[in-house]
Amino acid sequence: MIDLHTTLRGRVWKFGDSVDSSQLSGGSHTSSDGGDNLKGTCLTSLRPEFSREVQPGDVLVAGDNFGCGSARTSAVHALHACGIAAVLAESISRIYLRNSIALALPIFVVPGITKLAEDGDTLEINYTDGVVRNTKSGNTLPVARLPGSVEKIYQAGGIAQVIASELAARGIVPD
Amino acid sequence: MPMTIIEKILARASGQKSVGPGDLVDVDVDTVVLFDSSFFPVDWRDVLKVFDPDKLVVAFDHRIPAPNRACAEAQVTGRAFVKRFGIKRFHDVGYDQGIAHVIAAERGYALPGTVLVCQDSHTGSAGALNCAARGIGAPDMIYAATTGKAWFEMCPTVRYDLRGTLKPGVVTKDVFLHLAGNYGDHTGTNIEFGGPGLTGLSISARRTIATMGTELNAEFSTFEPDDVLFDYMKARTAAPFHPQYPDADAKYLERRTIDLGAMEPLVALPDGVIRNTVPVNEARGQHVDQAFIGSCANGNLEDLAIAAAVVAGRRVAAGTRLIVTPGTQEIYRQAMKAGYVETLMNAGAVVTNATCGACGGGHLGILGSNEVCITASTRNYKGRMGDPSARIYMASPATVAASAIAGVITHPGEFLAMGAPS
Repeated sequence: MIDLHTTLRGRVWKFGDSVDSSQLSGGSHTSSDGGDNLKGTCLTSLRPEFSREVQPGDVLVAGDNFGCGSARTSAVHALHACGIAAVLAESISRIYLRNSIALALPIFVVPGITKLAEDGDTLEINYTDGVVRNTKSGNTLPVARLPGSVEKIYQAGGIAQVIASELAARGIVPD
Repeated sequence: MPMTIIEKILARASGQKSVGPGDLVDVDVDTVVLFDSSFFPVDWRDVLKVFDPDKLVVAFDHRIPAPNRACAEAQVTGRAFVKRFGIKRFHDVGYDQGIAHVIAAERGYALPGTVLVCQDSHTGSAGALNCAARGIGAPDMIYAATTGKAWFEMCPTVRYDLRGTLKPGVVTKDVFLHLAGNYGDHTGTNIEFGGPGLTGLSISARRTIATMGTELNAEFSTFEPDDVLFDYMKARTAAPFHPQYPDADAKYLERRTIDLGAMEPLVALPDGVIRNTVPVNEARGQHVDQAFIGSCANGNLEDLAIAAAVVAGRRVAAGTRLIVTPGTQEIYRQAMKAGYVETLMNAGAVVTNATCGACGGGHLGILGSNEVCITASTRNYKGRMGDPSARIYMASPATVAASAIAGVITHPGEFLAMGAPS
């Protein structure tokens, strides 16, 4: 499960507009691959050092249309494999947003975020108070509260767990 | 409240009188489409129940026939799933094989006015059939298959009124490239197509545009219903459907008119299509190693027909390879009967079985380092079709075929009667 109410502090990796799922998880590294391969190629076409230097708990900041392109879930698993704690972007491609929620990767649409943080800054994300703060500049932006149905998916640890509990409530359980 | 097409379909599917931008809607899903990649262990779960086996379609398409053991195992899992739940609409490797989005149209599974979901990003293809269709990713697709439900956030709609008729040799892929180059991305908006110009566009031609709505980053792309659609549906299914027209006073974010007669062959430069297109002659002369025609956007019979017309009596240039992948085996059979396959093969094209294949960098035409490709498919992102150092141009099947013959990017007018190249 993911507790959205735990305050996150992470170093920023900043990317531009339209980072597509082929850059997050390239054509030859799609659904059938495991986590190690996914980490090794994640975003290296844009930042060759990314997969070597990214640390668990880092956060990713991006411009418009983050995650556009193919619906591959490996594009979300790749960020999990890199230990990315949260994604904050000006706008997010719909399927990437859905997949991130369904796989419990914290992801937030934050208009203005690319002006709030530079690469290497530290961001503090306080979901409970609805604020993201740059610890160096002290500047902040609001983080919108997610719909209750989406919070429920994070609490469960992903949509698969939600499906399992909805079925269990109807008496449908694995043999 | 007056509504656009997509608002009407989703209001009906969610049991509400009206819905509008900003609403979160929970809808009953009419059709859920799964394919071979759905069954990779990373995404697949042991499904205990499906909401209605007769509302599911399973169409293997991404990597068929299986090019490696991981893909073969996913297909073993898929076949067991089909058998366990008695799914009748199953398209395995063989006679009924094809790309799921093309199958959804060809077999009349995507019904006007209904809701269709699939994990794949190009599911919006069925919007050409007045269907509320979109990709929702693998996890939410499993939720839909299990519960029969999906949720959508309603967005404002941009309306395109099409007028006039395309010139010979200009196709709807060029119309898409015009939209991408001229208007850029449509993030956070739906797109609706209508107007008198629709009459001259076949359902396949409309599907090319609806499929490529994904590349405009649109939410839903939907076409107005008309007699062309009704005739198409009647030839395929007796199932009831509920065509939805927009209200005359529906509210649009913007309303734009496209003169189809003014369209010219365009090409997208490598690494993306948004604001990245030029007239073909501006890229003229660029050497190409591979030319590809296929995918859910351009694997249609008329795509193969125009490619055959371009290459008839000619040979693909030395140092260039032309790969043609029909959208379904049915299209392949029709293309054989019409002589297109023979014409293409006599020109030196390799005609593969129906599959997503090279479009997604899966198999049957992966690009190597520093190669240049011109493709009539869905995407030209860096690394999309193989090595990240490969450069991918995107154009219509006519332009791709002409470029294969010349070995360099070439206006189709050099080989087709279509009036003087611009």
